[in-house]
Amino acid sequence: MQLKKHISILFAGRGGQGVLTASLITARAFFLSGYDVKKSDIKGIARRGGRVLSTLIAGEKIYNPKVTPETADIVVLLSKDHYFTCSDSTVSVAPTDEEVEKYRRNVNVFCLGKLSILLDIPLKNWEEAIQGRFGNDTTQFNLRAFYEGKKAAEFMQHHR
Amino acid sequence: MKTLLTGNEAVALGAYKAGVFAATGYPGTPAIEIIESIACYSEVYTEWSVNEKTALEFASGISLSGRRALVAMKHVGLNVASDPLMSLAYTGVNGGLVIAVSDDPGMWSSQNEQDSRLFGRMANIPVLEPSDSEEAYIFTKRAFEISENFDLPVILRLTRSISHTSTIVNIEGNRKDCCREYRINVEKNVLLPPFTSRQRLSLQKRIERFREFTPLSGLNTVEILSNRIGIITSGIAYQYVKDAVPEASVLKIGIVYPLNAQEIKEFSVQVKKLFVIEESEPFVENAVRSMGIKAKGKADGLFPVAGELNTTILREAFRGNYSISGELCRDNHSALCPGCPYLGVFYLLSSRNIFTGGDIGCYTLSVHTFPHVLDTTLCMGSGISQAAGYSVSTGEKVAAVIGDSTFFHSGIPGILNAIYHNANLLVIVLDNHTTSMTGGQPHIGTGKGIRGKKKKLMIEDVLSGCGIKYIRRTGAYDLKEIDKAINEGLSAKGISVIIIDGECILKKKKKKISLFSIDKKGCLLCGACLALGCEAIVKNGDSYLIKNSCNGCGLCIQVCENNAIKKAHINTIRR
Repeated sequence: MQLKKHISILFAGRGGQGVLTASLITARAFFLSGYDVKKSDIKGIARRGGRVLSTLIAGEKIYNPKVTPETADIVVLLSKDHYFTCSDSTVSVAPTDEEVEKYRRNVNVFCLGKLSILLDIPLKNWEEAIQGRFGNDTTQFNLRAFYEGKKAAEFMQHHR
Repeated sequence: MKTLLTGNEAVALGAYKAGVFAATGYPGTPAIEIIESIACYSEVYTEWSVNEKTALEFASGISLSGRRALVAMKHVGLNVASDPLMSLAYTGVNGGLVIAVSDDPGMWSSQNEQDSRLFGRMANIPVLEPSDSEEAYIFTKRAFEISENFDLPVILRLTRSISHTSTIVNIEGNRKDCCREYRINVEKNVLLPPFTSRQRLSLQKRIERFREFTPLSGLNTVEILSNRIGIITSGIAYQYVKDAVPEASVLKIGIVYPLNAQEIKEFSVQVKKLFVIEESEPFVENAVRSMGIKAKGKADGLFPVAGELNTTILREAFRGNYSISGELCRDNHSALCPGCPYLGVFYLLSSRNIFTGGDIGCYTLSVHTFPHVLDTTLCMGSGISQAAGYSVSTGEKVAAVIGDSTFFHSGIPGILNAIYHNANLLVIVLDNHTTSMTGGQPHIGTGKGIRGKKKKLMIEDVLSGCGIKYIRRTGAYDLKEIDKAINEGLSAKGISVIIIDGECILKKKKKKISLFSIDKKGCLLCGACLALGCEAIVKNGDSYLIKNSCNGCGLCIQVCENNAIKKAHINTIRR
């Protein structure tokens, strides 16, 4: 997806799935790639098993940080608890049931791999953002999930 | 150096760079991360205080000694701290004193909406309102200078969408060390008549001197683009204005109280139509109108007062489609976690018909599952006093539930009053060893501080010191024992207290536990387990199912009369 004036992404899921982490990593990857970026979280009560939303908008110059389902270019859905009315042009990124089962601990980072093929962000910036979030212990584990997500998305794209 | 920070992180960093000596507060969304971020700097004394009032009073002591102090809280926290705030305007400060308050328009995690700028006007002290993280960082640093230069505490007003939004911040300079000398000054710091008269007049002088300074501060900025539309705006609303009406000329107010009439007039004469757009109350708008300047805004019904604004609402308003309300939280999916130590007692209370005063905490979420247990939820520490009042009026024995952190925050005065006036009340203290609703902060009952060990106070010691005779601590997962305690507590005369003891399931360390499952053959579909209100137990077609979110608490085994619930497999809880 080529950057138009700006690109907006909505991340959604349940508390504990890593919605905010996924959104933060993407925001940092945009930031490292030289974009203006704003990331906004809705949290609080949501922590108690409720729905968590995080939105991100990146481009040359960003003012309003809010993204609604109707205006989002991409929606990343980590759980099936959310039902949105999106516009027809909205692209959805979500794990399959098998993928949720396989990547139980980091399905969020796996989905970032899927997301990455839609965005104009160099891989080294994704890697730096992931490393910055996880530190030495779990970076390799998460990078592996990221690249497997990327591969899965590329496979899907190729065979569509 | 540029980096990506939330508004809250930016306030913490700004305060750190301004050489703040101490940061205090009580956890409340959306302000929590200010204290949590500043705690990372070992040079800054940081504490979670017992409540917001003590946090501000403690910080004012730091300020008196000549050092800079930051206090952080949510909007309703400022109600608790408003008593010292009003008088601190009179005494003024020595070291800079800044109160960062985050409002929650839309009530995403609060019991009401409030506009903290009104407190600034009431106290007659400066209110600064940043429009992104970069400004949050700069304004915080400037707020300390303003506080010292004009001898006033300063409010830094944030809103949820500033506090929880990450934007790019340019960080410069090193931490400054600031310390002034303390000189005893009774006429300034002892607010006793007639010193109060002197300080009342001095306050007026100080705030007027500051009002004259505001146009020179550089914190209010003008962008002249067209002479057709001019918009006066502040805070996050600026961002929506830039997106919705990019052609408009804009006066962005960084110092929202006090306003300088000259500055507003100069802007207003440059545009044909003038609007005021701001989050929450028409605060700037009313001030602008009172200057005799014609402006349109919330008072004309153009923009909503309730809820959060957004770009769409503004864009539609300029097309003539006006919204009655902004964005309001309508999510009712929050509930007690599977394995929550509060589940058992709420399940048992749900079969009793007694008036129960509620309070602020995770237990409030029980209303989605057990709509007939809690009768009220008002503000921190209110449930006990409300229940006592109800009991005096009706003569009934009543109950009140309160969490451990809320008990220490403001529950104790309610209990004292109930004892003093002989109320007939069962108080149930839900002790999960943390401040769970806000993400698990320590408090005096945990023996921990934000950094390391602290003095631990037992709830029983407080209560027995008050002379309460019936005090029972019971485990959170033994239904029979809790049931017995409730019965005894309700039949005891006067005040009785049960402490339900169980660590918050979200704070439990990793360990192997056995999960449960329902044996389809033994299950008669009686529904007893569903009545527990555990989110992990669900109806699945024609049978019941325990989901993987089970935390192995074992409550369901105790309610199943057919022994259909069995230990399933060993799992590791990851927390």
